[in-house]
Amino acid sequence: MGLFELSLKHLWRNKNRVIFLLWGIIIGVTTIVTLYTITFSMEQEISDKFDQIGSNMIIVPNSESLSLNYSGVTIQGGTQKMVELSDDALDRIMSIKNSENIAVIAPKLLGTLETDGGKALAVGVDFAAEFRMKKWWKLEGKKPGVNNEVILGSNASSILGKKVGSKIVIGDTELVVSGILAEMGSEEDDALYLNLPLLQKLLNKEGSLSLIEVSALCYTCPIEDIVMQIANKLPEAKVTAVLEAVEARKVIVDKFSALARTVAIIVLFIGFLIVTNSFLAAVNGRKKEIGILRSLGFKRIHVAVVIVLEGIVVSLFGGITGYLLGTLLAKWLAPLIAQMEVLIAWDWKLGIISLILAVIVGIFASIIPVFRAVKQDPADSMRAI
Amino acid sequence: MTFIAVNNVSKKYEIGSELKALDNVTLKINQGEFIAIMGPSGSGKSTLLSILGVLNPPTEGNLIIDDIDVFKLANEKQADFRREYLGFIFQQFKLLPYLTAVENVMLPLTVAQISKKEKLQMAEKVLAKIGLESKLHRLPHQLSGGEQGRVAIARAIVNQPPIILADEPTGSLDTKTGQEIIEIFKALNEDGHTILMVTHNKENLEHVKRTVLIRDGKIVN
Repeated sequence: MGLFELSLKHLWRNKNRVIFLLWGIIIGVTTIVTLYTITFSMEQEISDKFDQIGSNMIIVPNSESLSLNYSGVTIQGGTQKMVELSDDALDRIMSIKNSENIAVIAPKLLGTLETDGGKALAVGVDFAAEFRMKKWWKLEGKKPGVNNEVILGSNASSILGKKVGSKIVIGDTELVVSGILAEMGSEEDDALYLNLPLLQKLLNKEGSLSLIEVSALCYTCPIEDIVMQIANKLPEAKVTAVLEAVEARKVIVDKFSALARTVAIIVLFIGFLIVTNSFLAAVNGRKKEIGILRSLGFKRIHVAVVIVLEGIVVSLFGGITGYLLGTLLAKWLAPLIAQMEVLIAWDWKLGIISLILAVIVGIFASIIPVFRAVKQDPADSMRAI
Repeated sequence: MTFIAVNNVSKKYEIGSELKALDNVTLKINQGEFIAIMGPSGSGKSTLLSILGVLNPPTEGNLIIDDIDVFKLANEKQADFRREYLGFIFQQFKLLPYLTAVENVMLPLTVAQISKKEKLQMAEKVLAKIGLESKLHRLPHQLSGGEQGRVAIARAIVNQPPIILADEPTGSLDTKTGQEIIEIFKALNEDGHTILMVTHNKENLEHVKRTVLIRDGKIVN
């Protein structure tokens, strides 16, 4: 029997006392794991949402001509001949190193069309990509299904005098309004949205694009890197990061992180106090036993090793239990707190960190009790016996 | 030849006022002696035993064991000394309740630089010697008072210390069981162990070679 075995036997045959020691560690680790897991998952979820809500990059052709504005984005054009991008830009964007971070690519062609209701700002889009990117769009009617179905901004609908189901005639082409967008207070209210290939054909601009909006999942990568990679692939274009979205995301993520850190530190400190107190009580209750060990020839260091080993074993057990409970609690609590679907995964790295953290707390918490134990006068021990 | 020399030892405690537990005690003990220390409660018997056990330094005087001035040793050397020279048998035996009989006996060997197998063999051998080979893996509460006493004796002698200190080893036992314990002490003494036993029981005196009477912190015989 060695010191480690002696520690284990003491713990094993004093389960009630061990449970008393354990609860402080378990509560501490569980709370930290729960908080961290929920916060991290919410950060990721929020980040993903931000990445998916709207574009965070705009790609426009390089041009020194006059500019016009669409959707808050300045693009060149005006009365001069517009310089445009070509369709193959989409493939080149997908060939960048961080292509897995690209969530949505929404190409657009802008132009004006003479309709039976008057002149309209026409925007050719890939409807599937557009609806994925613009989650805020509220549509009266239905999404366009076939090639000649279009949607109208709320102003365009009033000016052109068209409703859902109305026909719009452009030369020989007859279009059907499948839906009308709710008012958004932006240039989008004035536009007529139609299928990109159809507008390219109507404007005789097959293969041309006016701009490309890109939504990238930038939780794990800086958006500047992606901008740089796309710019390298599209030397004819100007790639601009829409920093507002990124900055807004960063602010919220940072606030969550700060909250989690603060709570974690407070919980860690309280847990440390509880564990120290529990260890102290346990050591005080073992005065007689320490006296017996000292009389049998145990040195101070031997007594200290026995107590610290017990602290480490209890902490390891508390760390494992805390991690398991914390993750399970996070799985249950996260949707309630976040008010959204949050995916909580078993993270083995967090498990290892929990163990290390618990052991560090256990070792530090046993320092004062160990000092008390080893400073115990053998004569006092003898009296206790 | 004197093996243990208690030289002019006094022990004072400050409990509100000064209390002199031992007053200028001198005692010479030869190797192989079996000594009973007797006296009324509060006379200083247990204090003397704790000083002889190198657990409680005297306020004055010194303790020489095997020509070593033991309280001049550094604290950690005193622990080595206790392990090498002394075996303790406490009042009510004080076995650790969470260890089995054989584990309790192995305790003094815990920090010894020998293999676990050797430690186990030594503990089993000593327990067999005192007739407990069938109860090696019983916890203390599963043993009778006499059996606990024998485990305590086995624990005291497992590392072959020359000196055994016993504090009222028969105090909590019935007469017959107490007698069995004393018989074991006699056998150990015949094997060469020096035994110092604090006792209240006058029946034990017929088995010892010398009796030391203490009253009011002084040796009176």
